[in-house]
Amino acid sequence: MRWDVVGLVLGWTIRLVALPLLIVSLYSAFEESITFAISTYLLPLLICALLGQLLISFSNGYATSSRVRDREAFASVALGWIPVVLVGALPFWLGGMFYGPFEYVNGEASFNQILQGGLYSWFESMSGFTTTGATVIDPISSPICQDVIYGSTLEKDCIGSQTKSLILWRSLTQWFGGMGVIMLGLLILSRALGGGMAFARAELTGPTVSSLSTTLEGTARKLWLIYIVLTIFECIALYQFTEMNGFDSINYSLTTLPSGGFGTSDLGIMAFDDSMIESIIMVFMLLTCINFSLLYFALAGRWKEVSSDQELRTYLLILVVAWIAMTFNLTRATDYDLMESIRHSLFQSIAISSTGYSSADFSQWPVFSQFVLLLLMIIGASAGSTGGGLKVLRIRIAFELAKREVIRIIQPRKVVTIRFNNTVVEEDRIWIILGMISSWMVLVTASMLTISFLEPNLTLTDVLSVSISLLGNTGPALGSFGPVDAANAWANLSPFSMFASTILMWLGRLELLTVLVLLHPRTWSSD
Amino acid sequence: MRVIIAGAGQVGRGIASALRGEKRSVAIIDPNPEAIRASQSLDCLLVNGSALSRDSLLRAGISDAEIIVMATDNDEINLLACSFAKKVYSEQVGDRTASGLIAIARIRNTSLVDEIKGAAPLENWSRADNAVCASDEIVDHLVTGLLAPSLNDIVPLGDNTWIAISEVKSNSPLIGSTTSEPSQARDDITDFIPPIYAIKSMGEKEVLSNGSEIIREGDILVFVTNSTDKFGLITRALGETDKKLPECPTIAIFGATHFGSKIAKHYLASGSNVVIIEPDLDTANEIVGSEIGINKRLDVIHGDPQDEELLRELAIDEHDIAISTLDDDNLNISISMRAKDKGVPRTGLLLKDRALVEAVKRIGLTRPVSSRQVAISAILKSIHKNYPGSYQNIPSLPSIVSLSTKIHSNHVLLESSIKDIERDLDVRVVMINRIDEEGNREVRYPISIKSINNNDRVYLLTQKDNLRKVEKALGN
Repeated sequence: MRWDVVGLVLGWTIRLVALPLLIVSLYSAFEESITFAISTYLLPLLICALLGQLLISFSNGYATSSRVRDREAFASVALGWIPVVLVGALPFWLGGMFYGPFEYVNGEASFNQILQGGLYSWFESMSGFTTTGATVIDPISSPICQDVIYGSTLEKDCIGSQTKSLILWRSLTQWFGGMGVIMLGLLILSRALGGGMAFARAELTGPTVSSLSTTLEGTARKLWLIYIVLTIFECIALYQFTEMNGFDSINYSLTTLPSGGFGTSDLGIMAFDDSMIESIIMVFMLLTCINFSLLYFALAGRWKEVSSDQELRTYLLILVVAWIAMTFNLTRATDYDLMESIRHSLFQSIAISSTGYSSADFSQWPVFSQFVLLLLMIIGASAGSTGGGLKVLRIRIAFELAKREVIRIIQPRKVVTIRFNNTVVEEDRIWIILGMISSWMVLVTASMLTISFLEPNLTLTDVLSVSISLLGNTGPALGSFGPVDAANAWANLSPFSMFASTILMWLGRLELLTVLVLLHPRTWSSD
Repeated sequence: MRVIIAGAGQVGRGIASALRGEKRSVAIIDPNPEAIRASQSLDCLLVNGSALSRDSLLRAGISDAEIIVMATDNDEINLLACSFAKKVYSEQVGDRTASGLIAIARIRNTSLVDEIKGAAPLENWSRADNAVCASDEIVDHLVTGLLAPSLNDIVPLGDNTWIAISEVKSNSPLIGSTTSEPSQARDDITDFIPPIYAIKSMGEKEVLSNGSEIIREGDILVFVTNSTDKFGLITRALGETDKKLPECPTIAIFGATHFGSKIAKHYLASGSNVVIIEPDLDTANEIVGSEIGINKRLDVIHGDPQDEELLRELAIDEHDIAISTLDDDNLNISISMRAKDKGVPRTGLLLKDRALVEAVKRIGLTRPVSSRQVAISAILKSIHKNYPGSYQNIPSLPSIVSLSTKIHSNHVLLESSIKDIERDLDVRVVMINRIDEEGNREVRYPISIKSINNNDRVYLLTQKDNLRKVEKALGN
C-alpha cells in the first residue's frame, strides 16, 4: 500500500468538508449567535484545515499523484468516509443535539452520557453522509426535546426542537454525501491526481455510468449540474406551490436529491399531511432513483435513449406492479379508502427504494404490503443514481443469469449471452455483479446474526428489515424500526449494535465490494 | 486498350481467362514466379513484380491500360495499389485526375465494406473506382441454389430474375420436343415452363437456342425465370423431383463466420429456425452478441461440428438444410457429407477452391459455392460496369454471358420489337423489367412484350465472342 497516495486523497477529502461547514457556521452566526457558531463549528473547521494539510504534507505532489493504483484508489475511497464522518459528527456533539462536552462542563450530563452522545453523533453523521436517513434524535438521546401540538394532542418533537443550523448541517451531510464527498473531490482530484479513472471505478461501482464527457472531470461536472439544478427546482416548487416554509423547503430538497430522507420534524413528511407536498417530493424522489446519465440525456433532448433504457423500464415496471398490488392490499385490509391507498402506496413504493420518507406509518400495514416494501428495499434504485439497494440492473442481470443457467441445463452447449440495452454484458462484469450479490447475502446474514445476538428483544421482522435497510441506505425499516418509532428504536440499541449499524451503512454506500477489497490481505501487502 | 490484373491467384487468373474469352488484351502482374508460371496458358502479358512497383506497372503497359484490377490477397495493398497505379498512369499520360484509368480493388474482409463497422463506401475516400466485395452475391448464390437442389446452377441476375441451368434426365418429358415447345403457353398460366434460351448438347459447345433444337437426354438447358416458384416446374420438366421444402425450413449452419451469420440472417428473416454450430467460443459469443443474436429463433451452439454426439443431441437429421461455412474447404466437405449421411436432404457449402465445385457436386452434395468463383463474377461485372449494359457471366457456361441495359429516350433499342433485337444483335432477349400502369416495376417474359419502351430494363444473353459487338451497339 502506498500510504502517501492514501494520505493525499484523504487530505483533499477532509479539506472539502470545510466548505459546507463554513456555510453552515456563517448561517449559524447570522441565525443563532456568533458564540454558538464558534463553539459548534470552529473546532471541526480547524480539524479540516489542519488534518487536511497534515495528510497532504505526507505526499510529494505530482510524484505521489502518479503512483495511484487500483488498491490505493479503493482504499482511499473507502477510508475517506471515516474522517469525513468523524468531522461531520462534531457539530452534533458540540452543538447540543446530543449530550456533549458543554453539557458535561455545565453539569447537565455524566461522562457516560457524553460518550454515548459521541456515538449518537457518529451515527447521525454516518447516516447523513451515507444518505441512509436513519436518525437517533429522541428524548433518550437529545437534551433538547420540546413539546408541540399535533391536532389536539401534545407530543414531543425532538428534531423540530433542534437549532436550525444543526438541522441544516444534517441535511447538508446528506446532500454532499449523495453524490459522494469523494465524487465531488474527483473534480479536483482528477486534475491533481493521475489516477482519476481509478477513483471513478472505485466510487462509481454501480454497473453503469454512461460517459457524458471525454474526461472524468467533465462527466462529474455535468452530473453535479443536474444534481444542483434539480435541488433548486425542488426547493422552488415546494416553496411556491405548497405551504412549506423556506427553511423546510431547503432542507427537504437537500435531503430528497441524495435519496437521503432526513426530515425537519419527528414525523417528517407525515407532519404536513399534504398531498401536494407529497406529489412534488414523489416526482423528485423518482428522478433521483433514475440513472443520472439518463436525466442528462433527457435534458439534452435525447429521448430515444431514455425511453429505450431497459433499467429504467424495469424499474418503472417494478414500481407500477408494487403500487397496484399494495393499493389492492391496503384497500382490502386497512381502513384506507381507495384514494388514500393509491396515494400512500405510490409514495411509499417510490420512497422505500432509497429515500426513506414516509407518508404513513407503513409498519402497521398488512404483511403483504410490508413484504412488497421489503422487496423494493432490496432492489433499490437504478445504477448511476443516488439511490441505494442492490440496484435494478444487478437484479435484472442476476435474473437473466438464472434464466441462462436453466437453458444451459437443457442445452449444455448452447451459447447464451446476457444483454442489457442491446449490449452484451461481458462475463467479467457478470462475475462482479454476482460477487456483489453474494457479498450482500453474506453481509445481510452476518449482520442479522450479529444484531439478533446483541439485541435479544428485537423480532425477526426488525432484524431482517434493519439489516436490509442499512445495507440499502434506505433509513426506516419495518416493525419497531418503522417510520414513527425508528428514532426511539435506534436510540435504544446497545452501543456495539449502533456502531455495527453504522458500519453497515458505510458498506452499503460504498457498494460492498469497495470495502471488501479492503479486507483482502493483498491490498495491504507491502510493495 | 488493355486490362491489367495484379495478382495471379485463382481469382486473378479467372478474370484473365474470362476477359481473354472476350478477346481483350490482358496483362498480369504477380511477385510470385510460381503464380506467373501457372498463368502461362492464358495468352496474357505476364509481369513478375509487385503492384506497388512503378517498374512492374510500366512493363504491364499502364499508359495503354483502360482498367486495372487489384486482386491480391491483401485488401489494404489492393486499395493502396489503386492509388499508386493512378499516380503512375497520370505521370505517364499527363492526365492529372487519371480519369482514363478505372481502378478496381478486390476486398475480402467483409467488415471493411460495412458502413458502420468498416470504412465504406471505400470509393469515397480511396482512389479505387470500384471496391468489390462479393459477400452478398455469395450468400445469394448459396441460398437461391438450395431452393432447387437438382438444378446444376442458379445464377441470380438481379431484379428477381434467375438463370437456371441443368441437365435433361432420361425420364424428362421434354425429350424429343424442340426448345421452343415447352414454353408455348402464355405468361400468366401457372404451369408455364420458363423459356429455354441456350442449350449445350453432349460434346458440343453451348449455343443460344433458336427454338428448333431437339432436346435429348444429357443436354444442358438454360432457362430464365422471374420467380423462384418456377424452379420446381423446371426440375420436374428435366425429369427430377426435389422433396418439397417447408415454407420455413429448419437450418443448421456450421461455422459462425461472416457468411454463416449472413446466411442465418437471411433465413431468420424468412421465419426459419436456425442453429449455428461454432467450434470457437469467442466467435460463438460474438455472433450471439451481434444484431442477429437477439432473435429467439436462433440457437448458437459451441462445439465441434464433427462431434457425433453433438449432432445427435441437436437432432441434425431433423433439419431441412445444413450449410457449412467454415474457413477450411476439406472440413466443409467432410461436415456436409456427414450431414447428408445423417439424412439432411439439402446441403450447402462454401468452398474457396473453384476446382472443387464440380467434384463436390458429383459426390452428391447439393450446393457447393466457390467464393472465388463468385468473386470473379463480381469483378467481371464491375469491369463491365464501365461498358454499356450490366454484365453477368455464367460460370457453368463460360461462352455465354448475360447483359442488361436500361432503355432511355435515345436508346438504340427503343421501340424495337424483340424479334428485331434478337436478329440484329445476334442475342436472345430473356426478360424485360417494366413499370406497370400503377407505377410498380414488374419482370416480364419477352413473349408478353410487343416492343421496348422507355425506362424498360432489358436482359439479354449473348455468346462471349459477340459481347464486344453487342456492347458497342448498346453504347450507340
